[in-house]
Amino acid sequence: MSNAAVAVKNNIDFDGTNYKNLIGFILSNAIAGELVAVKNYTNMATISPDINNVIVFLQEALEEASHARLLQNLAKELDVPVVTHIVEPSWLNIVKYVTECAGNGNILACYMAQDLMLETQAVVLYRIMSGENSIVDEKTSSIAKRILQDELQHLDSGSTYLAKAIKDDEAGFYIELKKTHDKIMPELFRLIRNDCDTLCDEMGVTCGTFSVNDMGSDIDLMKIMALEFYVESMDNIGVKPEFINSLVTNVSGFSENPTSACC
Amino acid sequence: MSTIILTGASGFLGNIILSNLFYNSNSDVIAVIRGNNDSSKIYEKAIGYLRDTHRPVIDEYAARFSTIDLQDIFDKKIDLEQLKILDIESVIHAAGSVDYFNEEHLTQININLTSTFINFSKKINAKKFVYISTAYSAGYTNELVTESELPEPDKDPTFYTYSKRKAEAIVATSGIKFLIIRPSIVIGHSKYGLYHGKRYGLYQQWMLLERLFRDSVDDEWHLLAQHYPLNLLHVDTFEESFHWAYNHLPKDSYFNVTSDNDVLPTPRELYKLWFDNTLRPKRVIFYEEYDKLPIAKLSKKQRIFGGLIKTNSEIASFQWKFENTARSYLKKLGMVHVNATLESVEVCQSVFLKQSSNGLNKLKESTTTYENHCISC
Ligand SMILES: [Fe+2]
Ligand SMILES: [Fe+2]
Repeated sequence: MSNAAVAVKNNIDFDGTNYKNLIGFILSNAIAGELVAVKNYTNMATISPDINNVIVFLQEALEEASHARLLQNLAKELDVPVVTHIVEPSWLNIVKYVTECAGNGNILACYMAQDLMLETQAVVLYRIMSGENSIVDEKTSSIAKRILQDELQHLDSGSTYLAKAIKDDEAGFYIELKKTHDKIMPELFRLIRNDCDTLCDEMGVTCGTFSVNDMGSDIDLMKIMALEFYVESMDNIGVKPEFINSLVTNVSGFSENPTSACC
Repeated sequence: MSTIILTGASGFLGNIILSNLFYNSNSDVIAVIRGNNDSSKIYEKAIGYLRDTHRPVIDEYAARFSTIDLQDIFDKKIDLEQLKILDIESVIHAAGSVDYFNEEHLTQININLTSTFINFSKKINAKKFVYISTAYSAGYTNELVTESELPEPDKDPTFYTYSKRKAEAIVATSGIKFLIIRPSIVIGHSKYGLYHGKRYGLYQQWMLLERLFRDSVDDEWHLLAQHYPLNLLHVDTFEESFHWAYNHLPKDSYFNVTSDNDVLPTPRELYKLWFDNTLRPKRVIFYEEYDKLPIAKLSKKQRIFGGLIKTNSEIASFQWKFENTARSYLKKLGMVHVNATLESVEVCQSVFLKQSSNGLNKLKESTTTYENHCISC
């Protein structure tokens, strides 16, 4: 069945403005996430005492940069509005935190932020973009599937490091994990939404005119998928279930947008 | 013709109030909104609620509705003299934050913004200030929650209840005639089941059960759930209560808008209602305390579910007793008060399930056994 036929069947018009704006919005955010990852891995490379790790970090940074380029090219090919630099405040806050941690030589916090938190969210994003619990065009799906493989590998190498770190200093690990979770996860969850702070303006589209429903998905489900995979990744690292639960409890308090609850 | 100023009109309860003012009053309504909120969407939402509840909508409503930007109030760009001429009947402050863990946000919105609107009301000579608080503003107390200024409790469930209590105090000591309305947990319409609010409370629970268990069903469940009532309130009861309180309660009144404990469902009954109509697991075990849950043995999904609703389930685990004097008085005048019962909640749940995309929610094969986790062990 052709792409267009599939789309019609599911009542999603891949050539419609709403779908195109949505994909542009998602690609812009994904590109921003990739650029954030480039910065984070570069930061981690500069402070790593182990030369083998320096090489791994730089390779990962290079892969993230190539993801950003793949996504930019995809946006061009699909002819969707796109922004190719970081604009959302949440991404900037994440970069700021990881840069600070790197400045303090705190490689553990960098691993937690980038390799556990950002990578799990990247995996979920690319799963959705490849058609898991969503309906997307073939081009988007195939690029997303390609990037997904790299992200799973990034997560895997980070998990190996973190699994060892938890054994080396359990108490220290938990203190750092709580701190990093409180800083990074609210920002990441704030990014899973249909509207935007400044991104829509820069994209030249009207905020609120499209939503993830335009790709047959829903925001609540996306958040739950993100949380499930985050928990699964912590399980794999060996984080205590009780501790994971205390982190999950405070996720319920994350607001989409600090101003949205009022007026 | 008088004018009412309303905050929080884009939110759930504020929008219900807007609908009610269109339908039940002749006043002009000026909604205070944030610049990024679309006033036509707010209007349409209020009109939509009237239509959904089978009430006539007339063109005159649009002419009675206007907005001002909150930022203009902060920047003192509002022409106060012009507002004074309008003869402001009341300021109804329904804007609020339920961001449980964000103390800064709660302080800013629930406490500071209330002060801002009290000062604003004084400047424009508003005759009355109506504050939409919460039934839980008393915090954890074993005493009766009276319809008066509240004492400091030993403990608050969250900073949210503290911030609402502080806001009440700001209103009560302002010198303006006031009405403080304290609804419990607002759910859908008692007759039509519709709900336009955010996914809080019971709706958060249903949404999580639906989305988390979209592709698998656990056979055994361990849940924190009490055997005494959870105070739910139908949105139509809230609306009716608002209307009667606004028009008939004397100045400086407090009003606990709640349902009666003897007919309300318990959290355990609410889970049974869900499972009986959806997943039908084999075994469900209810716990009295969160710390007794065998977290390490639970499936990933149950851990996430339990973690996300922990705060709400703990709030639901406490038994508040509410004074009902204002309600009795208004009922004598003709107000109709519809309690939330297991049957009426089922109306809301079935509307929710009808909109559900989860095929598993239609499974009805096995039977479930319910057990209580031993209390003293
Ligand atoms: Fe990447
Ligand atoms: Fe990556």
